[in-house]
Amino acid sequence: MYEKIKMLCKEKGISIRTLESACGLSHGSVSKWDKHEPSHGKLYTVADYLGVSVNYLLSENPDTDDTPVQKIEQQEVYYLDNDTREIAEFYHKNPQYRVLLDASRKIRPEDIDFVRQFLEKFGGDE
Amino acid sequence: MNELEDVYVRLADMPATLYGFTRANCDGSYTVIVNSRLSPERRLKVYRHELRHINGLDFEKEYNVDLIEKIAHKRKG
Repeated sequence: MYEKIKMLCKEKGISIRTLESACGLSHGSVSKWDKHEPSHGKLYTVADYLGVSVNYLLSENPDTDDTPVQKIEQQEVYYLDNDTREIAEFYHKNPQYRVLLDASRKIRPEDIDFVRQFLEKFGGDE
Repeated sequence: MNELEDVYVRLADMPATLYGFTRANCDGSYTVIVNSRLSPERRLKVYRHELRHINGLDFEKEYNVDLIEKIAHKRKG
């Protein structure tokens, strides 16, 4: 697995260290994955960052059905509504908001707008 | 769990599909808003979910929100 990750990093023009930092892993941890399989969460994070499936990383057969690069639309998403996802992304990244949610996957854009209304009314900062 | 940050918790009446949300405040504290319509048990679960966002340093990550939520839902504790 480590060699596969190393190859994918090389294709993306990044170092293993950069990958580890981006995925919130300690330096040197990926090199240990050939001997100690990582948790599914860590594997998922790295696979998503590299644009591949977890199965591809775990597969020992280089000629698997999974292609090295998966299209974003083939990856499982959390929010089922595209507009909702855009709004949630905006709340997360915008310095004026910096909000993360706990919501149903089916939440609609008009419902998620409550966050904006609430923060405009009450400010949010304590 | 990481060192406890200043976390302020509030209840608010909000749409049923929005269970709660957390805002990272400018001074490093966090404000957690939980849907008052939920049962007490569910409110606690929402609070724990929001704490996972805080302890997982999700506000500093550059991942998209889909990935952040999937990872938060997989986390335990």
